[in-house]
Amino acid sequence: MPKSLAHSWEEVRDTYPNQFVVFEALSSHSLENKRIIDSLEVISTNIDGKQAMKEYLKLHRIDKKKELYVVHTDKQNLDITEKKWLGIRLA
Amino acid sequence: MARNSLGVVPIGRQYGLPFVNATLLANGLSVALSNVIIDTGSASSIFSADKMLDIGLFCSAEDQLFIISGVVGEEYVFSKTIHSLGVGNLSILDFKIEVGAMDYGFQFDGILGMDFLLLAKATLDFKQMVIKD
Repeated sequence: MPKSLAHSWEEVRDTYPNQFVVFEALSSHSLENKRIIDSLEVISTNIDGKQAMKEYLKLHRIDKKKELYVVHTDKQNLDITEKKWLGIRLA
Repeated sequence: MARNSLGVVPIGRQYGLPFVNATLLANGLSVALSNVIIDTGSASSIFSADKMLDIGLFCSAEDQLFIISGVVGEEYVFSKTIHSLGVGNLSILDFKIEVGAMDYGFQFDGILGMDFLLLAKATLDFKQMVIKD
């Protein structure tokens, strides 16, 4: 499984073209309803989107505090929109 | 859940919340969703990534990305236009859904939000405990 530290989405796209990457946002900030990823670390890569999604779900369930994403590197800009969820109240 | 000749779908209750069964079509495949919460407090509709994987639905380069901040922390979701989403005879074609891990501490397959309820012009009947058009 390839592992590398990267500083931008552009670098990740160059290094891992035409595939899915599961990555952790190492630092990020909010700007006008968008989440800007300042630096990220690629955790795994996969040609198969189903396997990449499974890998993301597995890692997310190990540590939900980590800001994890699974994205295809054909995507030029991450463009992550922030949404608020006030939640569901159970009886 | 049973469906009568009028296409009326019963609303079940769990944790004090209204649940229905739904059917989602994408990639030429259909997946039956049980335990979908009807939530007029949710603007959009979201479904479990695990269930979507059953019909080979995962993120692609074209999908819009979101980060949802809630009481249980933050979670990445992507949005996707699916072929159709149906509850009984209420069915919406080319419907945009969000897909995420949905680990909120209890088991459910999705949230049927106001986007679907408005487009389907759904009637929620809490006297008969059914959803219908």
